[in-house]
Amino acid sequence: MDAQIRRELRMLKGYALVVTVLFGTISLTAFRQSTQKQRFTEIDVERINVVEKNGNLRMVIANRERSIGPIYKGKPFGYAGGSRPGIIFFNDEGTENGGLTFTGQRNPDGTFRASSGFSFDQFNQDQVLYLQYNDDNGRRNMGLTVADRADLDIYDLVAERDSIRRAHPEGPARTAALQKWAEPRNGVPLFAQRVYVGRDASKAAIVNLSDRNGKTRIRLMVDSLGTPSLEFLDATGRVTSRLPDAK
Amino acid sequence: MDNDTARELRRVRAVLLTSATLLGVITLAAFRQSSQKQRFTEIDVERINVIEKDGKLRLTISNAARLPDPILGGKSYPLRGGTGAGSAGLIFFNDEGNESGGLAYAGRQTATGHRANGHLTFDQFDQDETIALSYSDVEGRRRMGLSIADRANVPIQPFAESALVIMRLPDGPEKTRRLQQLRDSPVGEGGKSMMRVFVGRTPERSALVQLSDPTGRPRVRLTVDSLGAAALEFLDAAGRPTHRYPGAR
Repeated sequence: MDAQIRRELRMLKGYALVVTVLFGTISLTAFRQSTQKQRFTEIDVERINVVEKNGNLRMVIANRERSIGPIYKGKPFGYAGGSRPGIIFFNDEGTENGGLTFTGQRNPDGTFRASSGFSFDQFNQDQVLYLQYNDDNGRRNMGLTVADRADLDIYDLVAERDSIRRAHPEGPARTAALQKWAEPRNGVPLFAQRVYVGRDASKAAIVNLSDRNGKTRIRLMVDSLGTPSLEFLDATGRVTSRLPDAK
Repeated sequence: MDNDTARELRRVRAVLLTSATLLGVITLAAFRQSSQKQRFTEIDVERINVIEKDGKLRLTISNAARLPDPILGGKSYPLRGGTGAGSAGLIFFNDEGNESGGLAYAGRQTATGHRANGHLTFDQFDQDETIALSYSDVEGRRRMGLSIADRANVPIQPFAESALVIMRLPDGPEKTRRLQQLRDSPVGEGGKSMMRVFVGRTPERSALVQLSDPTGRPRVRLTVDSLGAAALEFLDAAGRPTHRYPGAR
């Protein structure tokens, strides 16, 4: 082999080595980078999962299509995702415990539907504190609600309901079974509204305080005609006292 | 060519082939990465756009400089004002890509004191805010509470369009007059907000629950004022108290 070729080969070998080491370094950096702190000016994304170190979901920020369905201890249950654009929160055990969602669209026939809500769930249950706007083509309510929920696990309740749906085809038997399922357990209702402050669908501005069965017992109201009143009610919904006094 | 040279050449070829493959993999990974799921421990960012597949905005999370202007029918209306101006935070958009609320915070020293604001708002469809949980503070004059308002049953966009033209005028009596004229016009209806419920603490330092009629006039008021006086008052449409409890003794 002549000296010239030998020199060329050495150079090529050197070049190949340098290039390979360089690529190796870049690859390593590229893969490591993704787990390091990074800085962006602006990013477009369809979903962000905020996770604990072990991968448990803590918060999901998503568009409609990628929005997450209910999750109980890391497992999906209830219904599929895709209907709740916004932010869903999870507790330390990976169970959903609140959300901030917003939707609204006009239908082809010109009517519209919109809803926005910010909610906090009772532990292993459903929402007990929520700020909500619901609008069905102009029939709307917006307000703050505080509610009691039974001390029952939402996962078990949903499983019970789903097994009723599986056992009975649509019809009176299913309706009866579902009604029974929704009844109070040991005298405690599954859901009882305790406080409502807002504007209801009848266009009244209202503050309702209710008992543990969800029956309104005090109602401060300015109705759609502008008439103000403060009413006290008994457990059957009968008004027992009313202000202002008739003169 | 002798055997030695041939062997050396084979080796060089192998090394170069490896590096070329590596380059290909990296390039592919780089392009795929941008549209696939990625994991970060921590990111610093000036603005995040959560978008629908078709590119429509759903949510922005941003610093103050990059906070988007209100968007209606795909058009931006630079009309944000009040103590909320200069806020950073989240802006929500509905399925049509129109702004439908926000969660934003602001606060800064000024020449005369400070201005601060924090609020969570939900907008009526094609309109402006109907629910607001807010704190606003101008030089220590604070108001914090939950407000619920009726908005007009017409879209706000025509009003915003007119307001945009007027807001571009220089400040002065002409601008003020034109704004008032707009508010009094039929188009002005679209920009109206009729407060129905307020539960909170007022700039006068009263704790207050106030319910109003559909035109926004307070008709019942539960108050503990800054001096600690408690009262329940009913008012007529002209704002005159008609009943007050507890009664005088």
